[in-house]
Amino acid sequence: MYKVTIGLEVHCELESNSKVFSPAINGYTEAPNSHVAYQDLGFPGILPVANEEAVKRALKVSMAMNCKTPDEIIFDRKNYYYPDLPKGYQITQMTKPVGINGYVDIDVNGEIKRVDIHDTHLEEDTASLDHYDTYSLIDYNRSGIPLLETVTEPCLHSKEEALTFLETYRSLIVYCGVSEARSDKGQMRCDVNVSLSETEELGSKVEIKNINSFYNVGRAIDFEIERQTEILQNGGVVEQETRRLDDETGETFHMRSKVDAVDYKYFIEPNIAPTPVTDEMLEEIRKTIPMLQLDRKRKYMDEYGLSEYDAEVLVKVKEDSDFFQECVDAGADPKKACNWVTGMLMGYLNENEITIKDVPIKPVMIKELIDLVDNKTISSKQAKEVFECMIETGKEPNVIVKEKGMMQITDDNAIHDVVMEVLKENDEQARSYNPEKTRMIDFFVGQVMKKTRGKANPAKTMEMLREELANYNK
Amino acid sequence: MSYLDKSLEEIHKALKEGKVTSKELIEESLKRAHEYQEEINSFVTICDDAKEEDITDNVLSGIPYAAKDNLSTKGVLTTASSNILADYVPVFDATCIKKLKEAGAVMMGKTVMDELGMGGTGTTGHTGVVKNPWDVTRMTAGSSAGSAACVAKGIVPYALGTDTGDSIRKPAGYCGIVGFKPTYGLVSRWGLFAFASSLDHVGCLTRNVKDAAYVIDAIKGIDENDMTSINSFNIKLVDNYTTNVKGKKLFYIKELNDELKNSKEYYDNFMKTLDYAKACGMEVTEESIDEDILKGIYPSYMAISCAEATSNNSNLTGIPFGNRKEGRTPDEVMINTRTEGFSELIRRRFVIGSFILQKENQEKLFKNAQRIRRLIVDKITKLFEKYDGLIMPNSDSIAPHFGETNDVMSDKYLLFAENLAIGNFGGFPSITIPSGIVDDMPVAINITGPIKSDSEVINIAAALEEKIGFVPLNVKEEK
Amino acid sequence: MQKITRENIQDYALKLMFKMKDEEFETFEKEFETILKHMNLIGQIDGIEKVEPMTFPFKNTDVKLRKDVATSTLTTDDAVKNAHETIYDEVKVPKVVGGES
Repeated sequence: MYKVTIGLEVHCELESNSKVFSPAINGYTEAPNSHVAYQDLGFPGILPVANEEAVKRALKVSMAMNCKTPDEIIFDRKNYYYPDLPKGYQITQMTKPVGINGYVDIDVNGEIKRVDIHDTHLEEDTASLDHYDTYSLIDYNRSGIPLLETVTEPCLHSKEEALTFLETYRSLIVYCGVSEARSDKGQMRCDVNVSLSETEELGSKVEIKNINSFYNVGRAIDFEIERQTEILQNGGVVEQETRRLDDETGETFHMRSKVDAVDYKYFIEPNIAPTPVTDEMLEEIRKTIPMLQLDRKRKYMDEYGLSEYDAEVLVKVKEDSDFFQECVDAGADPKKACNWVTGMLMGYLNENEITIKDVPIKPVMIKELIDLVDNKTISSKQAKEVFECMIETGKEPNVIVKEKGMMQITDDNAIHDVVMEVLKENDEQARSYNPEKTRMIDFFVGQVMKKTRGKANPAKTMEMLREELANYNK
Repeated sequence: MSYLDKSLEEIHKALKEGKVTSKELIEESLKRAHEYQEEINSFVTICDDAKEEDITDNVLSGIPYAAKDNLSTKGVLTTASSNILADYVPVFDATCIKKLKEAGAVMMGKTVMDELGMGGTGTTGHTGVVKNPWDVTRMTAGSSAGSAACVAKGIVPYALGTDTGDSIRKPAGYCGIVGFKPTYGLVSRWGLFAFASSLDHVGCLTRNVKDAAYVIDAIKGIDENDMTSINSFNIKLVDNYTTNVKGKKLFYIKELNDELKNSKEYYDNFMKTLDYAKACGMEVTEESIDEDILKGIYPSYMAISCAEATSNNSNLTGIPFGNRKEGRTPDEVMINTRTEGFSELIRRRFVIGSFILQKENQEKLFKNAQRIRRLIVDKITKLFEKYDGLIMPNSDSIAPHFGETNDVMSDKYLLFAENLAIGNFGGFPSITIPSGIVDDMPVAINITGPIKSDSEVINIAAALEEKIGFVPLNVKEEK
Repeated sequence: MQKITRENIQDYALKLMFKMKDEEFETFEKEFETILKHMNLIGQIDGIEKVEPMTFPFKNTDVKLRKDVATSTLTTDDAVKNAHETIYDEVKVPKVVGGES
């Protein structure tokens, strides 16, 4: 067995109103070349103007990954020729990325592993190419969309670790609210470096470029481990090269060798005057970074005593987790709140294929509902009915209970009056009461419920009936 | 004398008083443009459809001007004098063009330049050589060659130019007119076809200093499309215009002067100009600068400008725009387009620029050039703590004859090859004005001042202009 | 630093997407030697390596990042007006195979 070492370069499109260096719309459209500005086609005389929001979002992710942030924002040019690159260079960050030397903790089967982040930097996307039999067509809508590229150190040692990192990173992006990070929409793309070695020294680095889904990252890693193992076992030497994954076969194939490596001739972009990154700016951004998935999971387990399973279900979607947290913050018991959220609420959402944002329910309502059950105003069975009404109408539970006339009679005197009335009306049965015969007491409870239309608190009714029946024959 | 040959203020007054109309001025300007085109070749495009504008209180309203062909003009062919853009019609206006439109100025033509701005002779444009109106056997220098020639010839009162090393000031000096490159960022570069972004400036060529003040006042301003543009609400060149510069302090560089002593007539002219400066009440002092650093200006200018240029012009591939040449693959399209689209000089410069930027060379070549740049700028900035301006000879010669010089880099350590690039290195405002005649040709001096002291630089030049009393060619020919 | 030969000059040129002609090499080599000679002199300036390379002419204190508002007015027609050939508003090129991106 050889030691596998994996490094990842993950590109993620950031959401914003406008592109990173031009004022064109950053958003999806079917119409080609309609979301473009002069900059996006590289016309002579254009100048890039950096988007404040894109910079702030990039800094936010950087800080969420515990990276060191720069003292100023500058960009660099990466020079190369390709039909999808209209300026002949990509504006990116090399000299001072938005983040360097960070880390992200991941949970690999219950074990926490720290993944070191080499850097994360803001750059622009290229145009997209559509290929036909004899020609290709260029659509510049994607040109200039902000991309955040995060580069890990080569510190992952299995496919599982790599995929766990990717899932964790995606959740971090989504938790930070900077992108939906969906690979099915082409928002996330990956380059993977895989090297095998018998010793502690790293083996030859093989890079597989531009993989479009996490599933394919897994396939590429599997294939490379197998391919490189075979070479090494046969006494061969793995060539340092760049490869590409064939999506259909799951095999990688040669793209270019190290000797053909492109010299990108990076230099500082002279058109973007440096803007200082102030402590106030960073503090303001820091305030908007939410507690991340893994930290929340730990908190739910350690502080709230939830099971790992429940904690995982809760943190899967940030909005669900936020909702749950607000229930708890409003004073609800965490376990009971968890039951409602993971049970009824998520059940409803899944069944209707909607998200928590689509329903009018508020966290404080869950808290109230739990209180109504706790103080025996309604039964748990009734609570479910109230919940269903609540999620559809957005009415507060108290209001629903009143409207539906569900309020239990918990007043001792009121129940007592009904109990006495029932005993009087059924004098014969009362007289023949035998505490051994449970069916008898059920009959009386039934009568009380009938008279109160089910509103009498069952436990109280039972208690009172027992007492009065015992006295009845004395 | 035609109103077209007068100062902007005089023309404006005549327009206001109805002594001449905007239409007449434009017709006269177009007529002259066609008449002299064969002789001096200053235009790529003459806008025969140029329309008159209403006369407002803006001094530039209704008056024709010309723009260098590397300024993006919506709906008007803009070639940067290169085959690769021979058919390129921009869909947007450069900020300076837009501002002049708003001022009511009328663009009557686009001027020939050295291809893509990367030359200093005025001989490398794709539509042919620009000739010096003072003597058509001599060059104008460049790269704003056509702009200098058409202003000197009296076709327009002013023209826009651009300046990366000396591209406004050198030809202005050789053509006996005023060339002004303001502080970096004072005028937006949006719409200027980039040569070397960190050195590029938009400026103007005029027949007198005050006209330059009017033009720059009209086109300056912070621009949301240019992150390197600067706030200039307190820089008002016309409002603060004065020829009273008593007490201002100038310095000249000893090493440049020593070199100039080899050419007696130019030296005498420069010394005479220094006397004029003193006569204006200014102090003039000699300062010495380490010769190794001065010698570094030329190579570091070449290194930085070629490096930035090779990247800036990577957009010229014939794909989304430009003069595409066919090929079987996209790479072939790009290679054929660029091989045929660029002249030899340009391709040479790009290879050098690319070599300088290569990973293994960057430290020794590109970064060392950028280090020299800092040494120069720091030294000059330090001197500007004591002085209001640096006065230099604009050149150590009059305009050369064709064939006497070319754009091949010189092997000699020439102090005068790129001395004006000091202004580009530091973004300093820098103005060139005629200082006399040698061998029937104009010679010039240059004033360069601290950043954002554009007003002071203009005023110092205006005071000297008054003392020198130079007669421009168009006025001379009228007489 | 790399050595300059005709082969690698042509190679550099091709990486910049153009070809050099045979008769152009002589001037190029001469010019190249010149700039290297000049730059060599710079490298010998005492303490040069300690100087911070300068990209911007001076520190711009007015610079601001752009507010995130979409304001482009470029129409699809204008975007592709200067393209050599288009199909369905997209810019046509010969088929792209493999490579970067």
